[in-house]
Amino acid sequence: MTNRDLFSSLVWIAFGVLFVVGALQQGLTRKGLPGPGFLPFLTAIIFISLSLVVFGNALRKRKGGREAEHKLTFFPEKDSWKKILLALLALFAYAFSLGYAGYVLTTFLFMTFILKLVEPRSRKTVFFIAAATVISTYLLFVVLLEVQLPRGIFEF
Amino acid sequence: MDLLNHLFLAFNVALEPMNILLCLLGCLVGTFVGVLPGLGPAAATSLLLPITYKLPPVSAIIMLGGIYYGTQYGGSTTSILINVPGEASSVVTCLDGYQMARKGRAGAALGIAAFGSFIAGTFGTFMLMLVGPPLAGLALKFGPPEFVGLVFLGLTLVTYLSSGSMAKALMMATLGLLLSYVGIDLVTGRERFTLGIPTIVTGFDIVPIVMGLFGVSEVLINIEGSSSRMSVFQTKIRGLLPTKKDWKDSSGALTRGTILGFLIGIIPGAGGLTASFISYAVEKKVARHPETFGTGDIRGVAGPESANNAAVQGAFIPMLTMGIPCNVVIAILIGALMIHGVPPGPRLMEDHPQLFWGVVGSMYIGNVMLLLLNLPLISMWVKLLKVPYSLLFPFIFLFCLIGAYTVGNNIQDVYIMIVFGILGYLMKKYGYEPAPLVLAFVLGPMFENAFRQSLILSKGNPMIFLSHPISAVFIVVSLFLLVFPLVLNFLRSQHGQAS
Repeated sequence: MTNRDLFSSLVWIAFGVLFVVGALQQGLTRKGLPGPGFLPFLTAIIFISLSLVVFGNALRKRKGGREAEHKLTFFPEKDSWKKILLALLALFAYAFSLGYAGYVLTTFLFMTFILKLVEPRSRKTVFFIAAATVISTYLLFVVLLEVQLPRGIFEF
Repeated sequence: MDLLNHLFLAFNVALEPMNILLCLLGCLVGTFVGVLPGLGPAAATSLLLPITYKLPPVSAIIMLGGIYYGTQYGGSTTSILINVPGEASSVVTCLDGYQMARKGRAGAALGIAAFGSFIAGTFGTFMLMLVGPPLAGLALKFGPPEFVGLVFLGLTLVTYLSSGSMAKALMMATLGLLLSYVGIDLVTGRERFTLGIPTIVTGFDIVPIVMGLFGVSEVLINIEGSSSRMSVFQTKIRGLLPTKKDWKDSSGALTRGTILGFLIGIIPGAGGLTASFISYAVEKKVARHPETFGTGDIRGVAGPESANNAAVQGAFIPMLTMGIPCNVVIAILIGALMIHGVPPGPRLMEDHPQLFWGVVGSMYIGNVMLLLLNLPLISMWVKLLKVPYSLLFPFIFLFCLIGAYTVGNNIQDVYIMIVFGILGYLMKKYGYEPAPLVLAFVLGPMFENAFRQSLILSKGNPMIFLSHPISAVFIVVSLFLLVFPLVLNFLRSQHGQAS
């Protein structure tokens, strides 16, 4: 975990610095009382200090050679990154197309893709599960719970 | 007399057909989630939040609460039958429960786990009924400095009791606070840290955050590897009703587990997991023959299983009396209250008595339902273990997407949820826990308001936090808890160098 701690703490420090800058722009005091930036500034400083502690600990462990990196790979399998990337792309594509294509079509396509991605299945099974999901969730959310879901340009 | 009136109100609300149905639904989903290893109560409650949007607040909390305590019942099933805990709080049940199953006593283990959970759950509800009103009355006397101290102590305890590095847990708590500052500043009306994104002008919504951190990230972690199926221990489950000897052997463990669990549940950050471990340790300590633990001792099932259930009921006390979340599921329930326009806090019991008493009443009914669901229907839940996970994951994704969208009928919330999903995935990979982040995020606005009000009252003098005795006690205890591990580490390193 040493290298991961070094990397992540640096990212957190950068994030904390952004908050410090934002808090300073908001103003720390106002008429002798804490301004809108006071508590964010204080919290961000604590956040950065804690990130430095994690960074320092990781650095000390690495220098002391206390932790042998047990070939800690980020992904458990060779093709894992592809699955993650495709799943994320599908999620973003869903969010993007929901407003245009509407709930029914977008959900059907999304489920078809994800069901195939998670485990290889026959086309017939995937089609059946995706269609059943769209119908049942539509009935649950739109008909029963009266939730408004986007209808899209096709009006369904 | 007051108590009788309140009980009447409790059952009047809880016995409405709609509320009975929702309580049953919550218990069913809770048991289902509890039986399935991997999917926890936090993910389940956040996934089902959208279903509650159109419901009255009391019905929503009845259902979500049912899911929460239902998971504690279901969690033991997998611990006993496949040696894999369905819930984190059932980890310790594996030790003796699975050994009992191997010896052909799976029925007795499942039976005592269900009865123990029922007794503890009912006791916890009874205590909630007794302790809740006076505690809320006391909290009403709290001013802003006392709330600052209370929230500070709550956040410290949450990070103190987290399983990983304390520095990382504290970091996540401060990150949660930072995220809670995003949006309009309530004192000046100025926009803060919104980066010009209109959706977050009023601040982040809790739903996309928890759905991303607990739902999406969980699926991402699971789909990156090959799906594996677990094998259920092949045994015929018989004799679910514990024998006289079983009751005699486990009655002490059950009583101690119930009381301990309830008290531990009230402490922010502790929850069912800590309660079950402490209960197991206590049982081993008081046993005449501690060597029998780990070989199928019924006390090793009765104690922890009653402790984790009592802890769940205990966790409702700070939520319903002060608006303080003890754990991430309670934080989600508080989020649900806010979505329904019910401000959590000490006034909840006065302003919404139906909600408090309705939830209490539903807990009595829910515990009876769960006992019935977990004993006669046990074989049905065992069959559910054969549901392939690869079929569940797409549905979790879909519920997250719908849930994030429906919170404000806004696509931007869906993007926010996906971003938090990625963040949650990376946090798991890098060893950061999301729970302190969510708790601090929920407590953030209360903390900032109380902090700034205190300083307005004292005209900017920070000594107000120490001049109020209750607030001073909270702050001193928090500082002690924060400094103590550092001193301990320093002394250990000095001792190591000297030797």
